[in-house]
Amino acid sequence: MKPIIYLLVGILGLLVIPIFSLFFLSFEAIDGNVFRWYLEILKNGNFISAFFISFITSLIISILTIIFSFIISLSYFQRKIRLIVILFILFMGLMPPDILSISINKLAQIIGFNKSNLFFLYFSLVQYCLPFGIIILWTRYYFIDEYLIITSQDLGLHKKSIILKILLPLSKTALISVFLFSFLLTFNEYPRTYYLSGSVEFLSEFLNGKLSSGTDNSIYAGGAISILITCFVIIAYGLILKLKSSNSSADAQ
Amino acid sequence: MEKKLIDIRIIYCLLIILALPFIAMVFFSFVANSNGFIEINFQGFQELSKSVRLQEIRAICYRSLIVSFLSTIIAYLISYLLVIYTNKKFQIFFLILITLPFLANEAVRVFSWQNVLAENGLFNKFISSFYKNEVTIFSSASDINIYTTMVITCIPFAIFICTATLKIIPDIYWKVSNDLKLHQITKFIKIGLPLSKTSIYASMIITFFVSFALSSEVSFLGGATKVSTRGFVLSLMSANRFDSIFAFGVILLVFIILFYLAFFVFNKLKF
Repeated sequence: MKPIIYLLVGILGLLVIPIFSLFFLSFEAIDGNVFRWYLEILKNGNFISAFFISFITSLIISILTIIFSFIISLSYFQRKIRLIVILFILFMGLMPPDILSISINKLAQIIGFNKSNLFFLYFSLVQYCLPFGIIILWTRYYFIDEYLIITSQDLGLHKKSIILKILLPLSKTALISVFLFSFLLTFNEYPRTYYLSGSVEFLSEFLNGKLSSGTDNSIYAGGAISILITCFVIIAYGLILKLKSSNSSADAQ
Repeated sequence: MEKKLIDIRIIYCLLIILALPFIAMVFFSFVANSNGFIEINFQGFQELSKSVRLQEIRAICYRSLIVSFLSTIIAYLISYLLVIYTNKKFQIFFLILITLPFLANEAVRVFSWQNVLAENGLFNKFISSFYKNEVTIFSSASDINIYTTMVITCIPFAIFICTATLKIIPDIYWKVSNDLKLHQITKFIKIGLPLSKTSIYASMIITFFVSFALSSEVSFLGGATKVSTRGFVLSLMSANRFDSIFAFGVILLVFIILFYLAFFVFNKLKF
């Protein structure tokens, strides 16, 4: 058992640790100041504005994804429509973002928007996050005893009450997961913002542009900050899961 | 018993809105606007059939095939070890941490890997420190760094699919195999593999599409000469061949539908 766990920890390290190699460059000391590049990037106006735009956009998209994925995920309880939703999940999840973004751009032009419009970027980002959201919620529904819903229907509970009083409370953790996942996916998304954001610069665009041109080490600090935020959100998710499991074990006792 | 919790029309409405970009894609791959008149043609597809374009598509497909094959094999082995030999707590810890590479910023992730795997990167420097001469294992000329990065990006997707399937195999199979004192390798070949065939196919196809869309890995680690989906799309854009981009999308759409139908038929036959 133990050698296998060591092996898996080694694999995990191999897959995850190189992501942190930017930290190595970001702490390069100049005049003994290891935080010099961090101070420099935090003074960079473009970085700060790109960061806030990405942060606010991610919050909006996460809320929209929760609403739409919850509505669409209710198709889980009807087999025929569930099959159609699966096809849509495949379309949205597997189509290369570059082609899909250009199609959305074309759609915007048909409707009459010749200049870039954030509405279409939001539409594209929600479309990107929806498959993940629906799958997370469906995974939760899989573990809900179907007799719970059948019994409540037999007892004459209205559809709205079943959704609001049974399904929604039971899916609370899944909905938090959808929120966190969508937040991270949007916060770090590059291709869609590249094609659809127009003159508005998002964090991923800023980082991609600067990293490709290789300006100075402050960009490594910017990249390290984005990785740190991703790590914090993942740790928060882990803590929520732990809290939930300790609550349920306390309830069982 | 069907449990209708929501009016189907609401879901259909949302799905139609979500389908609009795909409808536009199909429409504009066949329809062109010439001198104010709309005409149906196949010029977009004809452009894709040119040998230069075909060569680029072939290169992307070939690379995606190798990446999907490698990442599925590695991911399945990891998932099997994870599900069979570790406890639930470790599994959750592992699965949460493995999401980090694909949730991280694309540019930062790829640049970090470039930092490690480039010709003058940390890995080559580390290996060279043991020898008198300079050793170059990873280089953009051999493509090995592109493949490594792409495989590592695709592995989490495949691990999720394979782990989910292995987790739903009834415990009784493993208990019986333990009672029969089957060798670990026999257990893997006779029980694990046959019962996860569907997930292996699914993860192969999904990682194929995922790696098909990965472009930053190629441009950061392979240089400007290496072809990627983004590079291909941008070259069509600069040639003002938007119809070909949409035609390319339609071809992929057809492949996704075929994949869906194959799985639908497979599951119908199975159950």
